[in-house]
Amino acid sequence: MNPIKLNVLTLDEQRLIHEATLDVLSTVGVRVFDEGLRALMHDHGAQVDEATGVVRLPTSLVLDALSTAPKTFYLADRKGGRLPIPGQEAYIATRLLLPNVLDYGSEEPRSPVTRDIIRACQVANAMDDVDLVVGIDVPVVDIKPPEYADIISIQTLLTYTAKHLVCAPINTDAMKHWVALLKASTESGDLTQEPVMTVEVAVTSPLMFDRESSGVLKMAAENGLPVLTMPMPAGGGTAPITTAGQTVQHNAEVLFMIAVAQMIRRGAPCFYGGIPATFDLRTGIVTLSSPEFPLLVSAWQEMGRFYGLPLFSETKYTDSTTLDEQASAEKVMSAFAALASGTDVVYGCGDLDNVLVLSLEQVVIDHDLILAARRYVQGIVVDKDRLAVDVIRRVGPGGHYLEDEHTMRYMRSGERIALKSYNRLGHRSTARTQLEKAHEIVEKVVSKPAEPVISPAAIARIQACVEERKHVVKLAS
Amino acid sequence: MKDRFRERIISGDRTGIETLTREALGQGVQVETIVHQYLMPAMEEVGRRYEEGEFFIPEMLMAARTMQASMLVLKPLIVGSNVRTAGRIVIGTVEGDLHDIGKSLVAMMLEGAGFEVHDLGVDVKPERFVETVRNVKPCMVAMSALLTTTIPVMQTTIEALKRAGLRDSVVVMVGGAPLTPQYAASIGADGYAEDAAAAARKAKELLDVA
Repeated sequence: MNPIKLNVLTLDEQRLIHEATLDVLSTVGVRVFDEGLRALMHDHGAQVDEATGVVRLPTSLVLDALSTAPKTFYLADRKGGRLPIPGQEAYIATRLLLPNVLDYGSEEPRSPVTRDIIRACQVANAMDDVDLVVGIDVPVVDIKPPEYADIISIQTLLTYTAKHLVCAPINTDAMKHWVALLKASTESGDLTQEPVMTVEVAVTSPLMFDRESSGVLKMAAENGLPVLTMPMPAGGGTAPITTAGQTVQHNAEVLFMIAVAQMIRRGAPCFYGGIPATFDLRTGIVTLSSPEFPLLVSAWQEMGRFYGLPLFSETKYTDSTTLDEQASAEKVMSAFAALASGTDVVYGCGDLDNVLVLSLEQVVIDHDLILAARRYVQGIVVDKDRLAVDVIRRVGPGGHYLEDEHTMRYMRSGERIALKSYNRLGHRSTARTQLEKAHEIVEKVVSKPAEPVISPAAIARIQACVEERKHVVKLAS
Repeated sequence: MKDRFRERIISGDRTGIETLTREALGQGVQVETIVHQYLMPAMEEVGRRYEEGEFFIPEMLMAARTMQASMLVLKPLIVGSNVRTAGRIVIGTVEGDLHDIGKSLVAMMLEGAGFEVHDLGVDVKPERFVETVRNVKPCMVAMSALLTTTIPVMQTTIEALKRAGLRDSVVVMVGGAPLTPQYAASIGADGYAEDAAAAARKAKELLDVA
């Protein structure tokens, strides 16, 4: 078996990008808005210009950070399970909440309500091969008063799914809610022992690290929560237009965040991530799924591999606003690129319209297309038994394999996978389109009553924490 | 002379246009003629080429910068002349949001369309918008946000303008990736544009400028 590891860059090219990155970090630097962070970085040997807020990292500091950032770690779920990183194959992450929801049959999306979180959790829970769920700090609109909406949204997520979470807390206040509620959700209350959430943090391209993002990264690293570095440099606008140049700047932004994480806590687990956006020079709009996107996904995963860091691919975006051919085409390209480049996590089933809209039917369809791409990347196991010469001899010319024990033995082994939303019956199928089939699958899951998936004790601990957090919000206002 | 200005603008020749502007003034061409008969029609041509997909944004920006270079030469002479700007606009990215490029692009497009633009930059507190409106007396406030979490600050800023008794003195236009026309209406904005080129057109429409 030769699991596919695509290379779009030669090793020499990776080295050139690495050297260019060190040049950018040591001579151009990143503007850091948080004075406390600048002071910490200064203490660690960074060059800080207080007049401009720009911090430059000498090469030795970057290389030191790369040596202490762990090459392996684990993610925890809230049922005592652990996901080793890297795993045997890429894990799949599916989305739970976005700023808008597209219902089946609707033409216009709407704002999310609490029930949408629960339904998305049900769908995610029903997928055995989905190990991560992506929350987002967009409060639902049906919680009153709205100041508590983000707290209740988190509570709902934690109650209705126990899978490992990935989230981008939007500021330090939100991160405080997350940390408190996550601790309450775990048995030990110690997130360093139970890292139940991966935290997305981003430098604002080009090369700016704002106060709130600094605060979120700090709390993640301090609490032992893996940091997912997620800059979104848009080539032609906030990054060089050339794919090589965009890769350099992105690499600099990721390594910068990893260095900061290591300064806060040596050995803080970090994923190499990022979103290769494009600044469309015709429209002035930043898009997340240009034709160059999958190429850059591959290049960036390769740079992560160059450093031996765990890889998290932000893929599956589409500029399409509906579940149409463009959406599928864009998602397939980027998912395949990520998987073929050896990613450890494929991120983000379910989104449309530049990650502004969630569709549960799209979750199902995306999940299937990742499975299909992942099947390709798994490759072919070639051994004596699977070469099946004895079987061919046994069945002989004109025979059939249907009842052979070899077929029985391998038919559920992973040699074949089934994609639930794909039509394999042709004209015999009652649901004619993939969308209709996906909808049937969603309905089957969400028509069952939703049950909390965590223990009564955990529910009680979370509820107590929710009351505390509400109190904090009340005092602050 | 008109063609020579047009050529400089279309090719983005900043140095050339400074020289040409001084030459025109030296020949006794009126400031308002240069602005309204040479520069503005040239920018309209650039706009047309952009709409048709012939020009990309960098070329639009270069043309706009070239026009600005000419305006800089003319500036001391504009006061007291018959030069009319299309209007005065204050623009900024709202508090908590550092995203600059979309806002800057809109600012450039608005200037290219003949507006006088006061760009407050990024992370602009509501109080600063209010103070600027009070001092500068614009006809429009344009706000940008990229993050779903900072778009509510637009509403806060509009409320701040109301409390200061300034809301009715300005037209408010908003934009940014997560925004929709419905959201814009729900927060009490007067207008919304989906991209920078549309922003310039929308500003003209909202301010009733030809």
